[in-house]
Amino acid sequence: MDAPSINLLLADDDRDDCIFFKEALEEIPVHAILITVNDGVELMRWLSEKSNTIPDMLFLDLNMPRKSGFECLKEIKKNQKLIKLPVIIFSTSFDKEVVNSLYNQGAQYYIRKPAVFSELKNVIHFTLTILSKNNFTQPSKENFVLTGDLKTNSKI
Amino acid sequence: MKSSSIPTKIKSSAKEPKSPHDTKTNLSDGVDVTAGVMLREEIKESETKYQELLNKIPVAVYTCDAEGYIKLYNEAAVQMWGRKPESGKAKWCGSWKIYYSDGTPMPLDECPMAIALKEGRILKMEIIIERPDGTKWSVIPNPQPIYDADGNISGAINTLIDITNKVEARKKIEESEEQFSTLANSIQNLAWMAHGDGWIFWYNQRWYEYTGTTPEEMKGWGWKSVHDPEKLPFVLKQWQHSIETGQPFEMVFPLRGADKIYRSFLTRVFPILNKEGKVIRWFGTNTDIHEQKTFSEKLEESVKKRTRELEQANEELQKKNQEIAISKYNKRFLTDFSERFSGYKVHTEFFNSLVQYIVDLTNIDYVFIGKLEQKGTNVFFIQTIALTAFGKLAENIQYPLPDGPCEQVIRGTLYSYPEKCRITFPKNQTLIQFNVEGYIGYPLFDADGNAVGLIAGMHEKRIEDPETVSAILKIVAKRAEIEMERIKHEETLVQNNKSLEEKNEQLESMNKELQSFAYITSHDLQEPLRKIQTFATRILEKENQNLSENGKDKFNRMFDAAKRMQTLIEDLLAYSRTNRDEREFENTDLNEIVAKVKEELKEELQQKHATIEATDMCDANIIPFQFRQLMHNIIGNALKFSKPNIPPHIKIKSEVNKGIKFNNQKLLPQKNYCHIIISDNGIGFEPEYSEKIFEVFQRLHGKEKYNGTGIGLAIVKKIIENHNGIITANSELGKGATFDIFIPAT
Repeated sequence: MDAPSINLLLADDDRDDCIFFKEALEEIPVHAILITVNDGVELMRWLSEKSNTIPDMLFLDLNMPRKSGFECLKEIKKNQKLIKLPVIIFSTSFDKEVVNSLYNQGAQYYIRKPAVFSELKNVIHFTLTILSKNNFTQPSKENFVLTGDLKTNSKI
Repeated sequence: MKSSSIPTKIKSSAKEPKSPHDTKTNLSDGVDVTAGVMLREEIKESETKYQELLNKIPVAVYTCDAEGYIKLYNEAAVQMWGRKPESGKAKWCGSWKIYYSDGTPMPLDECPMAIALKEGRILKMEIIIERPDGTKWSVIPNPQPIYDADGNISGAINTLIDITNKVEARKKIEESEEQFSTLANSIQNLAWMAHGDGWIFWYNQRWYEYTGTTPEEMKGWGWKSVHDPEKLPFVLKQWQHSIETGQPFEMVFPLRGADKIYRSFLTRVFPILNKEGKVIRWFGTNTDIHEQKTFSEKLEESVKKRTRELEQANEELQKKNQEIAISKYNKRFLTDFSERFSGYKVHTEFFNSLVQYIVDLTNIDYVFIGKLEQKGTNVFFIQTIALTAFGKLAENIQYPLPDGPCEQVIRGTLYSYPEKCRITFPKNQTLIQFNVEGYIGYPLFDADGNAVGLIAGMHEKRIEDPETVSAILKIVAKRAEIEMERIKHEETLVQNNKSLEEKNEQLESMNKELQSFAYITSHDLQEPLRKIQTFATRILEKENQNLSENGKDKFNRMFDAAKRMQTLIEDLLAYSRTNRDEREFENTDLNEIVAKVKEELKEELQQKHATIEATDMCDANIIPFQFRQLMHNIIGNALKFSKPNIPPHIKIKSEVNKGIKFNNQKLLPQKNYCHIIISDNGIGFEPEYSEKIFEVFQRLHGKEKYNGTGIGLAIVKKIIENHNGIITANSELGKGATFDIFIPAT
């Protein structure tokens, strides 16, 4: 694929998950540049840094120290400069109410961290591909949640 | 006396000279003896004038000479005597016969005129003169001796005052007074009379008999000595008031008898007025009401005795009689009573109205409802919850139970001491404090028959009608008992509510803890498990060529174990979330639900060649999301627990009907239910597990054979409970399973 490289920002305090993400990304046939921050405060500081280019998409963990993913999403969606930044929630937990609330707050996708590595690769690949295709529009509610098993996604 | 007619008669008779000359001479002789010869002519003249004068006097007048011979007399005297005295013969008095006032004959020479002449003594006395025709006159002679110059009696002049009418009047009075005193002495009442100023001048014989006093002791205000010194000031005050105002007097007070015992008397005094309206006399009676009471008590006793005899004759009838007696007691009373207490008065207000009601009916000085209370192990006391003193509500009091009538009431039934209460219970301070004479109390029982209080009346005087008071207390007591019982229940209810509230709070906080626990579980517990799986798959992928088959197997098993635990956690979360997740009921076609589940389980159905036969499906008011989960779990189970080599066949039916049509006692007979039956041809289970399979973590098979967490049917049960429904499972081992679901339908 000759597409230009995608700038990705990952906010996750879990070192293991950061490694998994990086390794998965490396094995996907997409040229991407990954920058990682480890908590919400660090994330917001990075985004407000003028010298930093706003990434193409943000993978946001929910449970982070100092500032949670929820708070970050709110701030991003309130900020005129950041409002268009596609935010993909990347979390272990899965609570229907939480998922609904995040959708309403403008998150692009909700990825439930898969247990099987190959599924992780799949879901990241799918996300990068579909977002480019859809021109970053928010999907319908039933397609909001992504799992590794992309055939039967969103039906829980 | 017809005083006006007499002068006329005297006047007319005076014109005829009645007195003979010799009489005049006789007199003039007498005068001659005393006055001397020189004055003879003048005397003669004066004698004529004297006779004329005599005749003009309207009362009987006559004169006698020193020897007593009658000399001059006027016409009035002739009228009185009924005769003309014989001149020169008649001595001392012109009357034919005379008598003493008591009727004994009086010799003429002992009459007052004779005494005056003979002894110069003037006797003022009443005499009776008899005329020749037999008629008698009462007269008072008034003889005056006439003295000559030497001071010797030369004659006398006598006037006779006719008092016949006065005497007769007096006789009548005496007779009537005799009759009166006979009457007054014959009555049972004490009676007396007083002057207008209250000075008692007469008592009847009964008075002296009762009081044991003498007329001398009693004269005037002597009666005070037979009065109770404590009550006397009140009696005097009222008596003075009557004397001052002339108002009749009425009062009940004790009078001391000859036996030194005081008895109650009803005293009535009426004034007797003169023409000017001034009280000239008081007439008083004292009626011994003590005796009356005794009499009525005796009467009552004999009535009671008779009643007892009747009661003994038929025990059964007695009970009914009592009930009837109470109900008959006074219909108006009962109507009034029920009207008065049919309102919504409760607690203090209610008890207050009860005691107030008793007071209105009985006028008992103190009426109260008291609760039996306990301090320490053996100290009992009464705490009043409603109290009236002299008709008005008073502040509640507390008093010790022992040594009083209340203690007896608490131990027994009705206790009635209409009088002498303080003497009966000399140690009781409460009775002394309230100056109690009469007491009636009735115990209050709780539903178990324990005495928990009492209702009682205390009176400073004797209670006049103890039967009525007792009956009223009994009736009111029942009402008080019910209210006390109601309050007890109310208190228990409040207590229960309070502990329920506390438990609710505990539950809520536990729920919150559970929720935060569920959140922690959903996130923090799952993360390590996910990572174990990720690492395992990463190694299996990346290091595949470096691993032995055994090593690969171990990694796969590690992966499976972690996955199983993750599934378990997810199922548990699903179970706990079944409570709070969407609960929006919708009228849903059950066919749609089944279709969705079919879609979800498409692969498994295909893999097992399973068929689902859904017939007669109705609409049901359900939470669609939850009901889909329910169907998913049951159908999923049917597929999982199918017999090897036999394609699963699942039948689903539903109908709406009344609870009474279904053979299940937990259903309300007249309520409509949607009955859903799901049956399969799987391996089934032993009937004894039909309840247990719905419990969390209940698995009937080893996980090697059938995987699963034992939560699926627990979620099903919870969903049915969320629908206010019932689910039962029926099966026999090897014969498939049937699930019966009942959810309320409209």
